[in-house]
Amino acid sequence: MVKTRHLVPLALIVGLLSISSLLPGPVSAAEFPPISDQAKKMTVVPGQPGAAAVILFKDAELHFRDYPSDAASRLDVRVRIKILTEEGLEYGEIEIPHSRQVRLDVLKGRTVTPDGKVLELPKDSIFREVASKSEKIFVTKAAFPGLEVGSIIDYRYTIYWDDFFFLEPWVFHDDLPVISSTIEYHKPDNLGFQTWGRETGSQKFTVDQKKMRGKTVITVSMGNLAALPDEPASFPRRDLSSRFMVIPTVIMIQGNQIPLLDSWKSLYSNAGDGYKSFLKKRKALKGQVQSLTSGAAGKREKAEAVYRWLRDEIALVGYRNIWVDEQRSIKDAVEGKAATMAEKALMLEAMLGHIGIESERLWIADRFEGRIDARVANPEWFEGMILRAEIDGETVYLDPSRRTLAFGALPSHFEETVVVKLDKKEPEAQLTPVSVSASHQRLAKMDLAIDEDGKTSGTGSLTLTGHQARFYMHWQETDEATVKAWTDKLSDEFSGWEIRAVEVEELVNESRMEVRWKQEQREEDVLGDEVSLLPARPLEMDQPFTLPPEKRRSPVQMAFNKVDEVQLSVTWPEGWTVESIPESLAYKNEGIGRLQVEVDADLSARKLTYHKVLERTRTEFINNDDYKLVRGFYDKAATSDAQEAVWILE
Amino acid sequence: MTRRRRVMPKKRCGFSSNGFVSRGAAVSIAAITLGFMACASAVGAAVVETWTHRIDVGPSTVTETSHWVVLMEDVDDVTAWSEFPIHLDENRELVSSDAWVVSPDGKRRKLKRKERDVRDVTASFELASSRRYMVFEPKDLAAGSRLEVKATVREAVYYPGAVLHLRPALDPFQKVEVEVRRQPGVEGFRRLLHGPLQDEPAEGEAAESSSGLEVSGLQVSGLQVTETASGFRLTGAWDRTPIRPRLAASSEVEPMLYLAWNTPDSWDGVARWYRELIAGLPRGSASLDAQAGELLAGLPTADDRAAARRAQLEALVDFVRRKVRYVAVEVGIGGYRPTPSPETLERKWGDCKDKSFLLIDLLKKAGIEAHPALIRLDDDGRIRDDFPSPFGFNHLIAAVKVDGLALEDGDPVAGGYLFIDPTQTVGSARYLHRSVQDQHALVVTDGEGVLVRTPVSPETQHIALEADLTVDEAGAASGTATLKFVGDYGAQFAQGMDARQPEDIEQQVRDLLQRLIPSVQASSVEWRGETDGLPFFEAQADIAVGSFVSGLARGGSVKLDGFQWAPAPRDIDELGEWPVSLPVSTVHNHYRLTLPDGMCPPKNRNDEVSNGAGVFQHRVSHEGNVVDIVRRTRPARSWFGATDLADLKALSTAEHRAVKRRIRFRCP
Repeated sequence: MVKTRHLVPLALIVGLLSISSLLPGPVSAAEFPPISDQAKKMTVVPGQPGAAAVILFKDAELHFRDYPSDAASRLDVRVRIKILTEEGLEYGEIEIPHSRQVRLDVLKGRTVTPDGKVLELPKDSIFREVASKSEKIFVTKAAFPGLEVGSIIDYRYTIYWDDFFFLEPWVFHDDLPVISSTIEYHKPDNLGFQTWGRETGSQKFTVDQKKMRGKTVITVSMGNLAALPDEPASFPRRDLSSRFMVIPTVIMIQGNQIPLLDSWKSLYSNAGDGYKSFLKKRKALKGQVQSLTSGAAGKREKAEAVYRWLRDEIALVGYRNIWVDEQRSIKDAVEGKAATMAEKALMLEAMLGHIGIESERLWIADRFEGRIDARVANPEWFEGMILRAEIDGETVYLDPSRRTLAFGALPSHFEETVVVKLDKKEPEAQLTPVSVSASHQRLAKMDLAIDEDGKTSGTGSLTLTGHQARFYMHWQETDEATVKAWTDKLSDEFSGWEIRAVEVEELVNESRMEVRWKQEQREEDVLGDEVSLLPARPLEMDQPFTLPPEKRRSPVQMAFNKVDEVQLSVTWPEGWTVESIPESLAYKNEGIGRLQVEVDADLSARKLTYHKVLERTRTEFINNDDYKLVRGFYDKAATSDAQEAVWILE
Repeated sequence: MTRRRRVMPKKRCGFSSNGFVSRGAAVSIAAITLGFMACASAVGAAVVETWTHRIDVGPSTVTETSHWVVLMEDVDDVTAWSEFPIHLDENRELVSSDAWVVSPDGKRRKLKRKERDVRDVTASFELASSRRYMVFEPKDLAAGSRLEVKATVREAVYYPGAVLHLRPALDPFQKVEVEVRRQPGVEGFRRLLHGPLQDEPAEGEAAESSSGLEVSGLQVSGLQVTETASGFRLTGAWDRTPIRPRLAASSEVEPMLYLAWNTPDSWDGVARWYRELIAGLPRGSASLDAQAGELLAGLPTADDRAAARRAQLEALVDFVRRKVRYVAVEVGIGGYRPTPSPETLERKWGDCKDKSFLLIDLLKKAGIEAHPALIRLDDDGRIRDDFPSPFGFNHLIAAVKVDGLALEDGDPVAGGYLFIDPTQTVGSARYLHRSVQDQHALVVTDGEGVLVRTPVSPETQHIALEADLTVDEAGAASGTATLKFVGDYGAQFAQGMDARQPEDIEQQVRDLLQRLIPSVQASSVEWRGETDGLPFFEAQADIAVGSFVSGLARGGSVKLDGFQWAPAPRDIDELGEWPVSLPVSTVHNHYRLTLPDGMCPPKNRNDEVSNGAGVFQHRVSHEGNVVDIVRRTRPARSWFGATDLADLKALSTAEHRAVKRRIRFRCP
């Protein structure tokens, strides 16, 4: 019986393959195909005038293992690149990861110079790096000879693995323009399959399916693909790339139909073996649970106690995936005080069970690694496993793998992402909730006073909550280093000021942190007859979307919703007067949020108060109108934030 | 396929001491020890209860025996120490090694074979190398437990010397004991202890301690030196995680022990060692002759012989820079010895040594004398010039004799040599990138070795903002802004023109304008650049700023941001007496403002601060309603020692205040 747990090593290595997702394609013929006259003549890519090089083709043939006659599955990869500028010479080296499970066979390459000379890739220009001797992971690297502008690089290689699976989609797009990319899937008739693809941009897949020598051959092609853009706050590159995948769903062996990746249920039943085995000695945690919860009142308090212990005392180790080694048990994790993400989730499940709380297992995907399609039962989609429980009438998501996460909090990349609820009968894909902007706040308060010499001093504080706080939690290893880091950071924000007496309070369990400080203008910054401040600091906004809408090529994705708030008061002595202050502003748009600036200069009391609130309630801006909206919003904020308050000595 | 991205000119060859190869642009040798490095614990709060390290120095070998006991205080420590690497290489063999996990109850478990791994190591700038780590990976390391490691490594030294990082992890060390023992046959033993300052002697002043340990420059606090029958011993403790000023030069902040023996205490001696290393290297071939002939043919035969030679030089430099790509493969002695030039020419790729030797050999065909120059490529550190050894060098460039060569102002010339870095992919011989300026270069000629300080060339590194704006009655401004970059920044932008999509370049220009002129609205962004000669990039945009002039009721005032060269005064104060290395670019900001009727021009002023750090000029002038505000900084040096910091602060303060003070349009 074929066990899908064999996927584990394959999944790892196939994951590595994704690093170089254009790894070459099919190598059925021993020779490289002839170079067309068009390719020889090409000096620029139409529509891509800046391209340093162009991928003329990147093709692959994936031969699924024909069990039992074949010993392995095979991927033949073939790539041809033309160097168009001197910068393009940097594409003259390649790296191919491989391993004991995913074995690299032939690697052949050549350079064809502009005058037609063929220079074979010599053996002494191919290097095998041992990434891990114990795990038998390698990277083969090569440097192509005799490259010059106009040269064409050809290379091809083959990799083998024993399973039926290749769960990393074929990626058609690249950093370079791609003239043509094709992948052929050769599937034996005893293997059932499901296809999955996602097209981006204006080009469409060309898909062809035919029977050939007892196999089904699915050919998928795309052409004339623009290079992937490199823009701020863009969607993940995976989401910008066209991708295609064939997923084996079932195999017939000796008349028996064995489900593979036909459904979440099948996948879960395979992964579940490791889970069962790991949980066998769950009683090992009972004493620990009793000790942790002895003074706690109520389920919630008990649950928080075990969660914190697991989060803080059991180190996170290993690769992030959904699998658990069948040789490991809870006892190993407790004794070693270390566990993988999935193991920590199972430990928490067991501990919650001991206090009478049932929980659901959820496989969860990282939103920033690209969107997943829940219709396809692909274990490679997921970063790991978390839990969901109903505690005192509240639905709580629990990820004990991160030391900065409070009970019930999710990191931003796990918000609004696909989870599969693991149920033996019917696993189900769902979405995690998205937290509201108010949960992720930065609140800066400064009370400053200008003295008669024009020197300004006072106090400040910064309160961070939610994701804003988590970003800085455990920033440094020691308290001293943390204070130093915050002093440096605040000194950068308040250029020309001395920042001192910095106090930092990290409240992980409240998802909150507070920084307090004293600040005074440095002597060299005191002008004597003039004081100017940027009231929006230290939460001044940068405009990340400077490119005009007609030139923006990718949709916008921002990490999470948020609120920034600044409260500033400044007093000044007699003899000084306000020369200018920022303008008040009130803007609200349901599609993005609000920006509110209230400025009041009480000349008689000689006091300025400034209150700014920027609230963004949306993270994704897909089309051109959306981009205009988000760009305009940040334009308003940046323009307002650039306005100084100025005092002068009369 | 993975594109192996590199950003010119941060290329660094694996040329370093004893086959140790620097990793990371700013860390350099600070990350290296003799064999054992706890680099996994870059920052930590574990406690190193014991670190003893014995170095047995033989004539051609160094044997190190190290013993570590590390207490894991929390989960983070476990993560940081879950891998304990031991550095090996072709010439570094593991003699013995064992590790144990000691649980809180004192139970001691020896690590199993499967808890070891071996990994090859390549730096980001390398394609391949022979460096590797034997890594202990304890499976049950937990908070409260201890990791104990004992290991012995023997190295057949390429150069009779060694460098030991005396603080191989940032965690507190309760006991440090480093013992150096000389074996028979070790003569002329030299040693240098270098590190964080305590009682700092005057720069360059060297002292001989009673123990015979040569102490130069800065002294290491926290370590005692004891002479022994066969060598010496350093004992002490590192009581806390060090907090360093953030601008402090990286090469100065870590405590290091340098050793050398059986070699002359002179740079000439180091040059001799290198000359012997490369002796017998094939340097000529028919293909080399043919290539030189092809490159030199057709060059204009100037009447001026010096000009003709310069033209030949430029042609050959251009070929090696642009047609032979940088690929670093550092295998064993190949980390020091270049590939024969004919082979480099044939494959058209090589590392710094390969490219430099190819250039030198091609120049020889043209009758131009050039030599290899060992140098440190580093924006943030330099070699110890008071301890002759190849340690600290990580790069090799070419030093061309200037005799009979036409020169221009600003050429990177020092000590009679024009310095050329063939790993640059742009620019003429006139352009030497910043990371090898103001560095010690050991020029290895056929007969001697000369240590030359490479020049500082602010003329070839230039950054400018020029804004020509018309202000209206409401205080808004519109006009054009021009950004100009010459030298390193020019090269980076100009190269980007050949490699990046136009939208990406435009985005970068717009972002930069936004940072320089807050709330600016830019349109019609255009740019041009050049990678020949001195690389430059120039971008121009139409710009508008809504609230450019504020306080109109009182005549109006404006704050003009722009480029600044000097670090903030606060950061200079924080340095205390630590040295700092800064870029040498000339910085220029010029605003031309055409004021509306009724807005009065500001008072003319012309301020200048000139000292050992450089020159800062601030000029405000007007003609009619056209106002010119010019701020210009020209640094004089890159390296600032303790005694230079006052000048640096004065320059920084002047620059800072000039930006801070608003320009006022108040009528008299």
